[in-house]
Amino acid sequence: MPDLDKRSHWENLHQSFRQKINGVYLLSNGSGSNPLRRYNRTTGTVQTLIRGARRRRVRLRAVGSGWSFSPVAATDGFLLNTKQLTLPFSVKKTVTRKGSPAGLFLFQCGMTISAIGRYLRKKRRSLKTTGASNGQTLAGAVSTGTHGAALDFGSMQDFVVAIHLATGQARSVWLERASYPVVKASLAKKLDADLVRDDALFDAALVGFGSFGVTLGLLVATAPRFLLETHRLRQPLNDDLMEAMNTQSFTGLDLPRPGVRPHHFELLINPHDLGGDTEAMVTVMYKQPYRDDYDRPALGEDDVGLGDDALAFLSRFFDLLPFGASGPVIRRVVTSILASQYKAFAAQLGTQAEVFAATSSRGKLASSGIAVPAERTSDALDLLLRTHKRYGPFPGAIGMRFVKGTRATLGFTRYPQTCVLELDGVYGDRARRFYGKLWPAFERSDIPHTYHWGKLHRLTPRRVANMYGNAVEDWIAARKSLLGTATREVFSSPFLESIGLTR
Amino acid sequence: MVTSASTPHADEGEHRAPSSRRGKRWLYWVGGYVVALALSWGLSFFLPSWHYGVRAWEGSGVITQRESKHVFLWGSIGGPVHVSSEQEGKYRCESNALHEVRVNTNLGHALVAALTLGIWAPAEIEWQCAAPEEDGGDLG
Repeated sequence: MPDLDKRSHWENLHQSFRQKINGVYLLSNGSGSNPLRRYNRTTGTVQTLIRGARRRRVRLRAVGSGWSFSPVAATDGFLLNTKQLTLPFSVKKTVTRKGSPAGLFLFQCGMTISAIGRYLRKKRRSLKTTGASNGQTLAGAVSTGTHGAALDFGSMQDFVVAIHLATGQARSVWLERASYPVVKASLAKKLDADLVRDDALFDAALVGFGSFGVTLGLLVATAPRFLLETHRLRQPLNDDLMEAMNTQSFTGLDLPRPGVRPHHFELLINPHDLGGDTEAMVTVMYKQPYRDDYDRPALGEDDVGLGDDALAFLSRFFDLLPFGASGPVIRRVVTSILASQYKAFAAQLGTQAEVFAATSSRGKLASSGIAVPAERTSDALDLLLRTHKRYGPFPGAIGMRFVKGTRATLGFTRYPQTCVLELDGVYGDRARRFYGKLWPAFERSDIPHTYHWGKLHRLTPRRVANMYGNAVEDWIAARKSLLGTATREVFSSPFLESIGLTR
Repeated sequence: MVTSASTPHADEGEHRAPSSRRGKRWLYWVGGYVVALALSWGLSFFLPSWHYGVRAWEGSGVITQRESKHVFLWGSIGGPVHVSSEQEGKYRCESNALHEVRVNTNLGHALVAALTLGIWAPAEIEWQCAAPEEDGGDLG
C-alpha cells in the first residue's frame, strides 16, 4: 500500500480554497528495472485503493499539481497524489494500427507539461499545444479542458487519442474512439486493460474532471518539433482589431508577417487605462520549422515584476483600503505591473516548451475564464468593459485567447471557434466582488458562454444545463455506461454534486 | 533613647524600601519579558509570513510538507530536517531529491529571536521532494 499522508485539509496551488479530506495517498511506481512492470504494478495499487474506497463508501480522486482555482479537482474523501507517476513510453509501430499517427507517446498521469516538454525535446517531438502554464500534470490539464491559443488546433484534450483508466474492475480500461482506433489489442493486453472503443464515452471521459475513474495514462499524438516565432506588439483597440477578433481573419491588422496566418493569437487589455487611444498588447506566434541555430529565450527573462507573496500582500492591501480610496491605487499598481511585464519585442524564437517556460506562480491568485463564440468577441468585451466601468476596479487585467472548438462533450471551448476572456488578478474581496457582478451580467446577456472549469466561476445545475444543453445528459449517460452506481459515488465530489453532474 | 534607638531602624527601613522596590522592578522586568516572549510566540501563529527559498527552475514537487523548526544557542542545537527514500511519512523522498525548500518566518518569530538575542530562533521549514523524471523506453 502507498504511504498515507493523514493531513485533514487540502489546499490548491493558488490558495483559492481549502477542502476537508481524509488524507492523501502518495502513489509511487516503486523500484525495479522493468518500467512497464512498474507501471502495471501502480495500476494494480490504484485498483485496490478504488475497491477499498467502494467497500468503505468513501470518495477517492486523483489530483495532480492542484493548479485549478475551482474545487473541480478536490473531493471530501481520499486524494491520490500522482506527482511521482512520471513514466513516459514511446509507442512503437508494432502495437499501433495501420494509419495511426506517428509520434505516439503514453504519458503516465503525473507527468507535468514541463517534464513532457523536456522528454519530447530528446525525441525531437513536441506537444501540439499547451496552456500558458506548464506546471500542471497532463491528466489534470486535460480533464479540465485546459486551452492554449493555437488558433487552428484546439485545447489540450484534442491531442489525446486514448485514455487508460482505472475503475476498480478486475482489469483497467483502455479507451479510444471507435471512429479513430489507434492501437492494437496487444497494447491493451500489455497494460492488463480491457479495450473499449466508443466515441461518446471517449468524448465524455476526455474532460471528465476525474470522475470517470483514475486516469493512469494518456496516449498523445505529438508533432515534429517546431519553433515559435513570437512577437509582442501594441495595436490600437479599434474596429480593425475587433473585426479580426470576431472573424479570425487578420488581414486588416498590421502584423509582422502580412498574409501569414498566426499559429497563436492573444491579447492583453488593461481595463484601467481605457481612453480614445487605448492600445492592446497583442502576442502573435508563427510556427517555424525547427533548426538548431537560434538564440534560446533567456531563463527567467520574463520573470519580472511581482513575486508570489507580493500578490498575496497586494490582495490584503487592496482589501484593507476603503472601496473609494483603493480605486486609484489598484489602477496605478496594475498599470505599472503591466508596463513592466508586458514589453513589446519582435521575432523571439523558441520551442513551445521554451516559450511557455517554467511557471513559478504561487500565492493567492484569482482567475476566471469565460468562453464565448469568437464571432461574439466584441460584444463580450464590450459587456465586460461596461461592467468594469460600473463595478470595477478589478485588481488585474483582461486576457483574450482564441482556440478551435473541442470535441470533448463538456469541453468549455465548445464553440467552433472560441474566444476565452480571462480575468487574472490578485485574490481578494475586490476580485470576488467584480466576478460577482460580471458572471450575472453574462447570464443576463444573449451571449452564449461557458466558464473555464478549472477557474473561478459560479455554476449551478441550471446554469450548466443552459450552457451545455443536451451535452450534460450525454455526459451523464456515458459515465453511467462505464461505472456502476457504487463506483460513480467513489468518483463523485461535492463540486460535481453542486452542478448536478452526479445524477 | 527611644529616638536614638529608633533611628537606625528607621534608617534600615529607608534603605530596605528601595531595595524591595528594585526587587519588584526586577520581577516586573522578568514578568514583562516573559509576557512579551509569549505574546511574540503567540503572534507567530497569526501573522502573515515572509519566506526565503530555493526552487529548482525545472521539474516539479510532489507535495508540500511543513515543520516548525527551533534553533537554540545560535544554531548549536537544532539540526536540519532529514529526508530520503529510506525515511517514512513526510520525511520520505522517493526521488532522494528536493524540488523546493522554503524558510517561512514572520514578525512573531523575529521578535522571539530578538528578545532572546538569538538563543531561541523559531521558523517554519517547508519542502517539496522532487518528482522523478524517467524514461520508460519503448512500448511495443
